[in-house]
Amino acid sequence: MENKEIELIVNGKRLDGRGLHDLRPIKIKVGVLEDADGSASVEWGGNKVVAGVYGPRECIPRHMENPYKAIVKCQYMMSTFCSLEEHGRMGPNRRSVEISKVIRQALENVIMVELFPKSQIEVYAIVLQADGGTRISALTAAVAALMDAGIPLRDTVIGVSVGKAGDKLIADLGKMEDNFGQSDVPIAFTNRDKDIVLLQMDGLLTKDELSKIIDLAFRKGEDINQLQRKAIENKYGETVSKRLRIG
Amino acid sequence: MGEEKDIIMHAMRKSYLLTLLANGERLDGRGFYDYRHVELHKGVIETAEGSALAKIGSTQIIAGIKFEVVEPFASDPDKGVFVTNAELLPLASSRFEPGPPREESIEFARVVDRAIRSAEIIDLNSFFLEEGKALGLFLDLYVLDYGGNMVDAAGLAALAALKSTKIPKVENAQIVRGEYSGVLKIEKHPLPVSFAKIEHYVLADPTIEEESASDAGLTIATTEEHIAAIQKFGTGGFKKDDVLNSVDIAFEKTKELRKYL
Amino acid sequence: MLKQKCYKNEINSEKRGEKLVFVLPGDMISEKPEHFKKGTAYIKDGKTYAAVVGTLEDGRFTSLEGVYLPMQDDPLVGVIIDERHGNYTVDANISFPVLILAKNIGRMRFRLGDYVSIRVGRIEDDGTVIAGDVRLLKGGKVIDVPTSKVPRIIGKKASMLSLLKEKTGVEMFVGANGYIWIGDRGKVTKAIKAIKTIVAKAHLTGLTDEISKMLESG
Repeated sequence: MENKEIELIVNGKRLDGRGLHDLRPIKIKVGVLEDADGSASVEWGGNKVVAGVYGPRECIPRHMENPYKAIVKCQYMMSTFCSLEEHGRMGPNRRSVEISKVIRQALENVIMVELFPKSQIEVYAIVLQADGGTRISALTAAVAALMDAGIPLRDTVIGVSVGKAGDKLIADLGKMEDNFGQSDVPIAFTNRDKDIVLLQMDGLLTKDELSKIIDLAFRKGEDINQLQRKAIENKYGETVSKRLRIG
Repeated sequence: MGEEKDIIMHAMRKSYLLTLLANGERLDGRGFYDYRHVELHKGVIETAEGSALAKIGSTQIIAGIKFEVVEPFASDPDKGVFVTNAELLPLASSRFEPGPPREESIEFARVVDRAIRSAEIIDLNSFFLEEGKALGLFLDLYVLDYGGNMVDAAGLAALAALKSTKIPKVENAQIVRGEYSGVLKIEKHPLPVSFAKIEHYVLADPTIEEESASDAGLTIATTEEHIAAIQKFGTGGFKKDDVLNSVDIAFEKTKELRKYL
Repeated sequence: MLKQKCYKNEINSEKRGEKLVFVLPGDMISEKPEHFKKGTAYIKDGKTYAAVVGTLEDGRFTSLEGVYLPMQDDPLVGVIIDERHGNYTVDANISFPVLILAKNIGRMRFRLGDYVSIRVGRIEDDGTVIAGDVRLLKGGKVIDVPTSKVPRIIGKKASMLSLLKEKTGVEMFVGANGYIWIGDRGKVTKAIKAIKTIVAKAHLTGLTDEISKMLESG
């Protein structure tokens, strides 16, 4: 996993000049699509993701409906041009299916599905540009889109990737750190109660290191939460114009 | 149950639309051949060799271009390859469901592709590298928001992406990512103009409501001087005069749309 | 004429004298259990938390977005889309089925495509809405607005709604589900334009004046 030829940390600074715990620039915007019930775009470092939410609405196919709660469907996908290195293929692959699932399971923790029996809530995210940490960017966009849609949530969800590179514990891994670092831990948790709803890890860590980077994630989460709040407030600063349907 | 709702609302909506059309009005107050607000943003995706985001009204389409080294087609062994694909993203519309490409997305990608190919605006000969190897230009279109008239937004996005495409540096028949040898030269600009027919009314740049109420659709792509592609959609019919009149409108409209490139 | 219900999203909490803050889902809006519109907040361990984006000002929580959850006696507007043995299925643009039962409507009959106004009579465990009073809405058209904007379209003590009807002469029926039926008489286009403006500017002040001016001119 670790590539000793690339010095990821030099004099306490990372390849892009950031300090060990600095986040990349993050821009969140809600209400970017008109047809979707809720939508958001996230630019996180070099990542660009758009998410759209539909529902709650009638469950299709009917036989999948749950008589006690809404089912949540989630699809994360990457555009064919999101990677500099190659032209990807259209359609889902194993990785995108796995990511769709972990995002769905994270969101199911907070969406108040019991309010909408027999219906479905769909969350779609497309990565237009990838730069390390796409699943966290996608989750961030999805949460903002759900709030934009007015779907009731128990709490806001905050995601960030933390990990280890150059023997240092770092926050918000970029592409190089993701590919060549010592450990990558994407994590997402609820804002108020700090329930961890998404947690994955690769590489090697001690228990003490894991504990420290989770704390680091919680700390950085405060900054991200402020950005989420600002994004929502900005929506109401401008007039919101939705197309009226007439029939 | 969803299907039925479409039909009922559609019937209601159509009669309302017809009342307006008889008065020379469209739902949003446009003239029959006016376009909605157009926006075109080039180079929006840094990981792509060429890209553009086109908006017409609330419809948003993003085009991304990537190069790969490929094997030329047996029929044209010393030419590069140009492939267009499109995806109707489920986040773009409550009507699109995730799954394999639908007829619609295949059809609309092919119209955009045909216009570009007929006008021969990409010099595929220059993509030849060595025997059995050439550059392939992959144009991928994603519908992000569907408010009607995908084809015209796709055509604009595609042309704008092509015009800003950087040709990657090639060494030993391999692409050196991040380094470029030049910019793709585009001299002609084929763009599509689409119409919807509701009873005998023909409207340019239809909205989603107008498309739902229409019996047929027609897309005409023109370069500065020629018709480059035509596609008729749907089950209804067009009279010859409708078609020829639409050709005139298409030439007029593409001239205006070209200004955004 | 079915009564229009105004939605109160006001709760009394200890946070008096506080200026307007935006709240996100999960933020606490009161240290005590409060009443709120279903789906906009929830109670946990005796405290009330927001479930949707809203504002908190002087202890008053106003939701800015929300998904409509039908409640007893709510007025709805819908379209008849199916009939079976005299029972009708209504499309009211909500995720729950809405049914008109034959036994509740005596001799009334409807056709597919008819617009109806109904009052929510009963809500079953699985969310199915059974209609109470039903009325046919003749002709007209239905427009679809976000349900969170419905209170603004009705206004305090139905003031905005009265303004709209008075100045345009239209017949209007506002469903809590976001469907608004507008009759064929009167200045329909003007009314639709005014509603569009209210939807766009619902969260801003001075809206009633703006709409009033808009309806006076032209």
